[in-house]
Amino acid sequence: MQTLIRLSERLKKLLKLMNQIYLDYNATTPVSSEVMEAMHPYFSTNYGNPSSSHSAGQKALRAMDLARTQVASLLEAKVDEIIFTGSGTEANNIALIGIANKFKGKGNHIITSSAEHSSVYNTCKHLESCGFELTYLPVDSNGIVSCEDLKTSITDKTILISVILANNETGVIQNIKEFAAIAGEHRIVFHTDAVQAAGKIALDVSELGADMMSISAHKIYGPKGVGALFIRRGLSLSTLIHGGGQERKLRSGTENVPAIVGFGKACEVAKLNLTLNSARLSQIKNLLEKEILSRIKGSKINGVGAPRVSNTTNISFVGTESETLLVKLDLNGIFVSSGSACGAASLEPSRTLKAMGLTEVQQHSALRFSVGLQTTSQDIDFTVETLKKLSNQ
Amino acid sequence: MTTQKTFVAALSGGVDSSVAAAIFVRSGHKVVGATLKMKNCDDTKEKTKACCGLDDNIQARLAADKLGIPHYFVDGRKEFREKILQYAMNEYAVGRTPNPCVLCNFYLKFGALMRFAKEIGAGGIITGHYAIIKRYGSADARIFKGVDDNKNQTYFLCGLTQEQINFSYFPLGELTKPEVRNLAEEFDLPNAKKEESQDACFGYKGETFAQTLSRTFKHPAKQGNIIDENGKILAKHDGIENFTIGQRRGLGIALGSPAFVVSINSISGDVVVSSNPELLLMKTFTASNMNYLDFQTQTLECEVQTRYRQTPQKAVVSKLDNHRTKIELAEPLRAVTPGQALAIYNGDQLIAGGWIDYLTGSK
Repeated sequence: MQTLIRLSERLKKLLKLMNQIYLDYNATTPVSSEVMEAMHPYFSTNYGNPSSSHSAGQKALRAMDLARTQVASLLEAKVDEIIFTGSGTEANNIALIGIANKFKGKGNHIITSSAEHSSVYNTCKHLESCGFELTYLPVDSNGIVSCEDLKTSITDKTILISVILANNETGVIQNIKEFAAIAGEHRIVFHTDAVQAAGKIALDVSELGADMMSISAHKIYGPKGVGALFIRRGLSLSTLIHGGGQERKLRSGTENVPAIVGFGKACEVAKLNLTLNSARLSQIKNLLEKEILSRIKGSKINGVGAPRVSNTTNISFVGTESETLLVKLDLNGIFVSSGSACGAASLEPSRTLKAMGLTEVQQHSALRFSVGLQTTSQDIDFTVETLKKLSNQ
Repeated sequence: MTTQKTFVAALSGGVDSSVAAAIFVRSGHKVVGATLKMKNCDDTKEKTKACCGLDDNIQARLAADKLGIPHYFVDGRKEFREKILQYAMNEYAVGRTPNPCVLCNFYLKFGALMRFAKEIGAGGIITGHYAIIKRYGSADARIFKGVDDNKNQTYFLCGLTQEQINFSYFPLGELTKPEVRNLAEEFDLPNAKKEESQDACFGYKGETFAQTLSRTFKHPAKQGNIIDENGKILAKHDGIENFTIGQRRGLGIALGSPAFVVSINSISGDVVVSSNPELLLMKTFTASNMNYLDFQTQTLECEVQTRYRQTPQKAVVSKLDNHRTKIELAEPLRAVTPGQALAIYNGDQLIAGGWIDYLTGSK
């Protein structure tokens, strides 16, 4: 009897897996088969430490070199301008704390926006507690930071400006090029968190004018546990993670070669298919938005008036509670998020939505849908059907 | 697929709630696990008790994973702080001894968690309470003592409303704790060997519950004197919050014979101690904020319980009004404590609950 019960449970689990619709690509993406294949040799075959002088180390080092060129290429950066980190969050920490500590003799004022990812926001809060002065630029109802606000907030003590390129919750894209230009005029270092932009929009660090840029592998069908920070040639940072001196002494620690190799491959593939993927994702997302807006009363897209990345849509379903709607969707095999993924464990409300001026009701009824390469139009149909059914209950 | 009734299993990370969930899962019911989040995840000060902490969250998730059920967190932090911790702090401050577990059931386990369950369309919640529910109709569920005399947890359920009871399922009522532990091993649950959780769930190493509350709310303790029944000052004390009626340990004084706390005065800060056991005996007292579940008459000869793990005492309970009762015990009882919950039984059935008032005294 026990065996039969276990068998039927296994079958149920399998059926469940087949019926799952993942719409949370901004939280993370599946590792693609090309990336898996590229990574594989570096676990148990070419497992050398890139810092070793012998041939085993050299093999690993060469793979890392290749990955570095692939990552640099995605950003149109030079290969020596890329350092590998453990995550996008780590890249943000290294960038912000690195510049703050390096330039604190010159000034102590840092400018950022009020719609940053928590890794930028909390690092800034930390810097504040260390004695730095922070300005959090407001955003308008569409989530956009104004150039005027940035200009007027600059003082002669400002040493760093950091504004997110594409918001993780709403997908809203900021005027990074203009901000970087303003920063440049004042000779202030400019950093941008491009974690949610890479692979979705074309990035060119020279064209944008950024001095530093953070990206992350697991958002672009690469593995978790690796990110990268672009640092313009000539810019030096104070070290955060000390040790053997890897990554130009900016991020010590034995490099995660398999993950780095995977990251490189992911960047190569992302760059190759950027236009095609972007178009396809836009199409799917637009279908989702159109269906929801037309069929579900009280639904409203947050940040609709701003330019947004192709795959993200943040929608308030007025009259519902997003936390319970999320659970109900999950029980129907549809995976989305509310707030942002990093906030999920702490059940905190969304800072970004609050900064955009959404009412409490709108904030607490907002869900983020982020589509990806495996999302089909049938997935969209089923999702909208289910949403309609659940919101009528 | 037919639309089956879904149950939400309240998982604390402990063995009881996990087994309760397992019983329903194995019976073929559709179950969803949920854990109340009552503290912030960066609350790292070492706990004394294993309940509702980070390791318990992990245990809850592991149990859910073992059972193959989804698992969600329900945010109860605000309610926990306001309705449980603040309440407890306030009670201590006026010289009473709070009973947070009873309120936790009312506001959190059968409050916030029940609301969550209803919102996601579930038809009931399952908990690991050792109690039996008998249903006399869809809206007439009644609570009876469980089979395990050592674990009569119905006391803690005396604050539940009829609506809450109707929605609840207690699969452990017919089992003893040793039987539950055996089931946990049989089900191969990850927390089968976990230790029993005893004290207030908000305890920290090296301090009492009251001290933790004082620290949390930055509320200074009410200091004062320890005096004897004649008013003679015996010693100073650090806070009335550290004392409860009948307490023998930690008095810090030597009276020749064992002494215990007889009364606490929150205004003067006096804690009266005595070696005379007669002073602790109480025969008549009142209770307020009554929760009448199945108490039909004006007066009833029944049994009452004035603290956890006490054998219910014979008494005559009379309603004074909709909110207050008078209790006349058949035999005087030691250390009836204001602030504690009062559970009223008719045989094995829990028929009402309330809160012990300031004592009217007398034998």
